[in-house]
Amino acid sequence: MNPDLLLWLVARVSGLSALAALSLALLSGLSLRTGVLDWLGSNRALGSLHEYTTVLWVPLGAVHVLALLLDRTARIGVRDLLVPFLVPYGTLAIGLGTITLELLALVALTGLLRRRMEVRSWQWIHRLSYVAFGLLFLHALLGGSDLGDPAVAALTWSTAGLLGLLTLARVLWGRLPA
Amino acid sequence: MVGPGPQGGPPVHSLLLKAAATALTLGAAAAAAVHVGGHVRDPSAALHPVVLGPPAVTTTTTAGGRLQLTPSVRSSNAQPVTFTAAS
Repeated sequence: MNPDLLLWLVARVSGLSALAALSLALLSGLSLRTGVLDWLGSNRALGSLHEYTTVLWVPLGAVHVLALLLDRTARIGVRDLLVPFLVPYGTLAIGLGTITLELLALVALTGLLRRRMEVRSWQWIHRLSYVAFGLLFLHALLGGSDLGDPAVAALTWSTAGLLGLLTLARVLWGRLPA
Repeated sequence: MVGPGPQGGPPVHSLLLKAAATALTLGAAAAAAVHVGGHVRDPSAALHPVVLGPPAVTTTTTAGGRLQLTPSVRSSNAQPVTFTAAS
């Protein structure tokens, strides 16, 4: 198989998997504030799960980015990981991916430094993960090669819709009744 | 780590939750691999990077002057030929 084609397939699989893992991360994070997963366990267990999800989405996201960097057909360079909207094709879709990468890197890094940070600052930075997930969804929608498939689209839209509803509930009502 | 259940219910092992999350992610990866393997090339894909780059120009200086060599096949924006007609 052509190496570039293999890298392209790896990028697609890791991208879809990273989206699934990030959905779990957002769901477990939302559950700490809304109580929607109270039936699964205590906040302590769910908090531990939320921290663990970084072990799932960070490597998948890294593989997605690395595969696209190495794929000569995609023509994405290191500069495109830092500065959005410079890729000559799919400029908006790929640019949104760049911003998502930067926001998620910030959220993950500050997650490691949480105990050394002021609580309010950490909270506001951590809330950027909602923005990052929204941008990630748009990135997948505008640039994903597989969202044209009805099954993949149905799964992605329903997951994003559920998370959107829970986010709205968290903003409007805070912790929901058990 | 073991977390107590809600309202004093049975304890829920956070290890079990992590195992479930890992299984879900691996399941999603396997399903994605099956899907992508069955749809290797998708003409309706959102992004289509141009495969052919600009022609590489080779310039050689000879005794009689400069010689520029360019490939005869180049990328183009022209519409593809979809039929042929015999006269």
